[in-house]
Amino acid sequence: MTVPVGGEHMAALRAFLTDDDAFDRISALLDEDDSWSAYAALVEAAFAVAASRRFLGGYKTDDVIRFVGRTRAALQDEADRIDPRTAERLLRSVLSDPAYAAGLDQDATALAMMAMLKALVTEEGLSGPDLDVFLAESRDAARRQVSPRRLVLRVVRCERRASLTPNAGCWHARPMGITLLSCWRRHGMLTVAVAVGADDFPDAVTEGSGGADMRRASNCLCTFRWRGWMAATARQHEYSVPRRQSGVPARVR
Amino acid sequence: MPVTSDQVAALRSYLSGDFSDYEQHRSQIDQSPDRTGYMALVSAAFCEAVERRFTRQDPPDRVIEFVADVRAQFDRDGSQIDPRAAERMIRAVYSDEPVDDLDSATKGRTQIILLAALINSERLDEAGLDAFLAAASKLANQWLA
Repeated sequence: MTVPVGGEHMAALRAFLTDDDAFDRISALLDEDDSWSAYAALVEAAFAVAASRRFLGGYKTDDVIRFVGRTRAALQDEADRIDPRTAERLLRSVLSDPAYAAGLDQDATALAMMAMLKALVTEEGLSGPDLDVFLAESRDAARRQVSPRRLVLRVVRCERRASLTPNAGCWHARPMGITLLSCWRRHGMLTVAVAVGADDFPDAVTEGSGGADMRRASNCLCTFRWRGWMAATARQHEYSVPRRQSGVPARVR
Repeated sequence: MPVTSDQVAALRSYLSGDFSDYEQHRSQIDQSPDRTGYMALVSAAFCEAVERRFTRQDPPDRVIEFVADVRAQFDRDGSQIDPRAAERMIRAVYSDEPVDDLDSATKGRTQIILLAALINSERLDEAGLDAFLAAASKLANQWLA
């Protein structure tokens, strides 16, 4: 069975790679179609194609280390979010042995892969027809994948308002609203920080509908969206709502 | 107990690339009951070297690129130096960034490799290396006092 990569996925990746604001509109269509897995397959294939072009004829580990270092240096503020060893292992996994990617953290993988893909394409200076050729090559590679490794693309999409309760055993308590603290975009990354109206870390987080989706607050997630995918990490003072059982987080608003 | 001349000689051999002499000194230090002085000397030398190379005003990318270059040169399989730990340890010298969560083995390994790279890039002559070690010894002795 081939991966159903279509025109909308190509358009989304093109928008990501060219910093086109149309990405938000295009990615919303992916939300409706629930076709993020095909987009993830395309991203992975594009990463492999771009890496193979960059390190044509083989690679040396020190070249990979320097490339990752330069990419992280160029990203500056976001550099700490990109794990260099994860990025190096991802590159080595597509350049030589897939085993290098075994056991990598999913969120760190997603962050590193998107950053490296963008850097590879930028360094090659792909645009216009050259970018078309690259995308077509990536699409064909993605379609050929039989059992591809999947990036975890977590997408903010649900409109339901989230709520927090201060007591894990009392999910029906009066909900506390989530406050949007800040929201900023830099280098294509949209970061959203939210907090509850209490000083203490809440014991539990629920969705507005109540207890079925309750999660321990210690597992609260700081989510940030980077051109169509979500990464999550535990951060004090930065909250988002829990993922529902489907694995999709509710929307903070 | 202050830094001894043997400990300074060991670090001098290491930084000047005389590894057979370094191994000899180092085995003596390892047999000594008190290695605190040598560890303090290496840490102090690392701080001195970082302060010569970086300033608080430097953008973060200078540190990232330096660590990547060091790893590319001295850590070919990419497993000896944790890049994030190395970047943090450099920044910690001139900022308030805590590194308490790093274990002592990681700190020691990272310091000694980065120190060699920092001094190697300075291309110090004999007098320059002596002056550097004197400054490092002074700082270490302040810590040990």
